[in-house]
Amino acid sequence: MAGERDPDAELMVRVKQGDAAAFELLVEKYKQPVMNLAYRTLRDSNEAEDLAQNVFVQVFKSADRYRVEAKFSTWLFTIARNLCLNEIRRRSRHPAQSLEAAENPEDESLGQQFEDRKNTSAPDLLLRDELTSKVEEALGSLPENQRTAILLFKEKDMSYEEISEILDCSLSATKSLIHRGRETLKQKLKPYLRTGVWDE
Amino acid sequence: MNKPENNQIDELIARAVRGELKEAERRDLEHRMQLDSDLRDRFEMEQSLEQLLERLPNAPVATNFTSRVMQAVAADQRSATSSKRAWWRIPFVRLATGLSVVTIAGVLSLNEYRKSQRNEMVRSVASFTEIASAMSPEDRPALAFRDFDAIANLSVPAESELDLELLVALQK
Repeated sequence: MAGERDPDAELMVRVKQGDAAAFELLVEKYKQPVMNLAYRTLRDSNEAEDLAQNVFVQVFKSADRYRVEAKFSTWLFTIARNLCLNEIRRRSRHPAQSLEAAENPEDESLGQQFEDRKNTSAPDLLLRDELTSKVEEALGSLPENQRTAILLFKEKDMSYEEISEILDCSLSATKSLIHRGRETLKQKLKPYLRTGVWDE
Repeated sequence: MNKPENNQIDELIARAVRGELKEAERRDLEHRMQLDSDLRDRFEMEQSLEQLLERLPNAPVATNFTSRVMQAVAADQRSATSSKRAWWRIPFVRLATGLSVVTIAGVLSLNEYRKSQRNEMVRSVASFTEIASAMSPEDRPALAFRDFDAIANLSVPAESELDLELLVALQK
């Protein structure tokens, strides 16, 4: 990181000085990946949105504690993960409050959000929805640290080092978590994995 | 294949599916896969899994998400400011009320004390006058001043002719 200027860190410096516009830019940029992590951890879109909102409020409130030399996304996802863990703990203490979410593990709204960029036929969409459900289910069955590691790894500009910092574990442990998680996913999704060719 | 080499291959495959390989690394992996069909299968499975994960739809985000966050932040700031004010205000009000009560009580007590002092003085003068008028002129100085503590404490000369004359004059 030395010598590189993280543009988000620059925005955070402005947020520290009370610049709401800079904060709004950060929210716009990161709302989707934070929501993805929250949704795939909690599996309830309303709770995930509340949590994601809380993540950004925490970011704003803790702006003074942000160190400019730290990468913003690492700091942000550390807060997001901690809030997710708190919610998981709260749910385990008060399971009745999560009944509604448990009854609807596949949130209907997710299907509506599915982007249909290509002109896809109805049977294809159905198959794709089914496949999505299977992948969501397989991801949901992973232990929290493996799932979070895989979801963060899915973020293209997130390195192993950053993920290990967010998960508060060593680099080798992080690689191992991702590897084991992916192995489990491959086992669970074996019927849906097709062999392909190297394509860019 | 031993474990460290296996880990190395795993990492190479992981980087390949993320499109992070340099040209030389990519050629090396291609070459290995031509020689090892198991390795090719592993790579293809990884690539397929990566594609499945990539195709996962984004979680739904409300269109007003950002504005709701900004509102929540503003509300949080307002409540933080008002709670700070309240924190300042409550002790200030308590302190001000306490000081007012103490001041009023002090003023009332002082007034009461002064009033009682004045009454005491009046009573003393009245009783002295009464005693002095009941005595014969010869006995007045000694008797009158002997029991009059205040005058005795002030060491007023008992036989002061001038004072006696003044008192007698006042009696008339």
